[in-house]
Amino acid sequence: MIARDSLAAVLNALGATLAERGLTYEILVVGGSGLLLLGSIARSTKDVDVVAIRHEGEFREASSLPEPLRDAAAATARAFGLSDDWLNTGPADLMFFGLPEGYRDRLQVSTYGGLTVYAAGRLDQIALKLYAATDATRLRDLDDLRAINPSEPELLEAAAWVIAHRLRRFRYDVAYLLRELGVEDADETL
Amino acid sequence: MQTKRFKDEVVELGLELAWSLWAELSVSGWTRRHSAAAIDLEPLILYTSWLGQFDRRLRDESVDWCISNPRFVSAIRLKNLLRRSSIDVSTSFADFSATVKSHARVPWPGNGTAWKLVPSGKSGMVDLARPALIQLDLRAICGVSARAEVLRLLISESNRGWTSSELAQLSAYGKANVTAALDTLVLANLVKEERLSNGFRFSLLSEPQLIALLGGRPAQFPVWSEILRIVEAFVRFATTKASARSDVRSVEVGGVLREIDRSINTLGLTASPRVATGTDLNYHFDAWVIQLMRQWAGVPDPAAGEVANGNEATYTINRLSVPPGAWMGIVSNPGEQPRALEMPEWAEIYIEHPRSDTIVSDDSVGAPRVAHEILRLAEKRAGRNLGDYWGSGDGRNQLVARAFAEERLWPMRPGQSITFGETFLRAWRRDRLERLAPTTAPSGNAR
Repeated sequence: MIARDSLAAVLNALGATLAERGLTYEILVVGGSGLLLLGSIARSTKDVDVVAIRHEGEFREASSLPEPLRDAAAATARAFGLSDDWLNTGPADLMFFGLPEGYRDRLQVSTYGGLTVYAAGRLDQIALKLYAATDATRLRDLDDLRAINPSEPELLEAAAWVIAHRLRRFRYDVAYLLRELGVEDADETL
Repeated sequence: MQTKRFKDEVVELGLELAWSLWAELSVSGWTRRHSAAAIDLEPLILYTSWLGQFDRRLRDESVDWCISNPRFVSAIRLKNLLRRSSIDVSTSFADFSATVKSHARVPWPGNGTAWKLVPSGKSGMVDLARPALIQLDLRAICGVSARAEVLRLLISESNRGWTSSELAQLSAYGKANVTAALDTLVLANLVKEERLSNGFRFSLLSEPQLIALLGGRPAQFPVWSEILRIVEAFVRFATTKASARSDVRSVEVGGVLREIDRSINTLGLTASPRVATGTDLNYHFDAWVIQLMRQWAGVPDPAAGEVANGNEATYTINRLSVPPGAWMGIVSNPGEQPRALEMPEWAEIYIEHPRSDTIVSDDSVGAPRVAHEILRLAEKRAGRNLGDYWGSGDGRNQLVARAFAEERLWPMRPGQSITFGETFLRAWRRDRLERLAPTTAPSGNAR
């Protein structure tokens, strides 16, 4: 687990190592680590969820971490006693289906040597947490939401994105099934 | 940042190790510290080809040996081990190989640039009577073959049942070659084949005859291919990773620990720095590296008292493979013949029929009792009486002995041995008593 106090130390060590190796990366993080960076929660987090990697000014879905970043992160894991996948791309498909409108303007940027970390803003974190909390098995997300203490307007704005996001995913799944069943232009038809 | 002392010490120990192993092979002019350890030639050649950048004489003398003794070297093992080697070793070996090939006709892998070399001709004839050269002895008998390597491994742990996969992995020959070698050795009644639920196991059938033929066996069979891989990683770290930031250095240490994970597991070592994290890792890692390298190079640490200065008693503790994990010790008092370490009660119990062995079981008190006995003997030489393990010293004897077992003995793997000097043992015990002082009231005359 990574405590709030040690998250900065871990990212500092990773970023400085990247810098000394002549490498730079820019990552967009969400989840518990993102909330820790925003100062919205106090609990520890087990990992840092990377949802996108910024390349030439554009955020791109991170299906996997670049090898040099993965290698440095694994060495950092060993140095700080973290699990090997503490820096991972678990929720990268969030990017595929789209983050809340205007998320770029709300990003909070922190620079750690060769590593620039963009943490999703408060409104986006609320939306993502609300989306995650719709999975009844994820009680921690509901606790995080309570810790963030969102206002009613914030919750309603987040809820609109959650419903639209869920719909986009559901539509994607249906289109996939239709394609499997022989409907060639399923994406356009739906 | 690497301190100069750390860097110099790591490089120096790496070179000491290589020189000592080559000295066993009759390369002249260096101290032999591995007379009791079986040498493994091909990993040594590969390692030396890379380490030679820090000592040109080592590089040239090892090439000289290879030019003089090519018939003992396995090109197949070189090729197979190269596949598992680092890029640095592959690159340096290419030049090393080219240099050897410019003086001798050998089918070695590697296609680099030969350096100018006038062979010194100092490499003497290898002395196959040396137990450390059992690999070359077997090659002289069986030819440079998988058969010779398989026999070496079977001799190294003669009571163990080996699978052909294990033998292939450690011999660095292909599985088909190893299987064929095992077939012929079974036919020759040298090896026993047993079918177990999950496949065949192979073990030595005629060990005494084979050992007699070879003129003895070395006491230890270190897995040099893995040890030298670790040493290479340590030396590379000490000479190239030079961050001024302690947190970056700890990450680089983390990278080294990941790199050597498999070798550490193969050797059954405990990566003691694992308990430390963050910048604390640096200190623990450095101490661990030096301790391991000293142990492998056979270089005692005067600061730790791990040295026999001629007037010191030493206590060598062996962790046995058979019975698994059991203990056996040797006491060497200055001016006396070494003798087996015995538990005090044995003298009373076995008066009429002395024990034929001096093995201490690896039960929960085996290692602590061995620890207490060597601490007791060391203190006795300084005129102090510790009393027995169970009842004396207000329980401190048990606490101290258990701590020593945890720190020094239990981390040993079967087949490993370590020697402690009396000064070190007394210093270690004093230090431990000081740490115990707040919770344990000192009493008696043992302090």
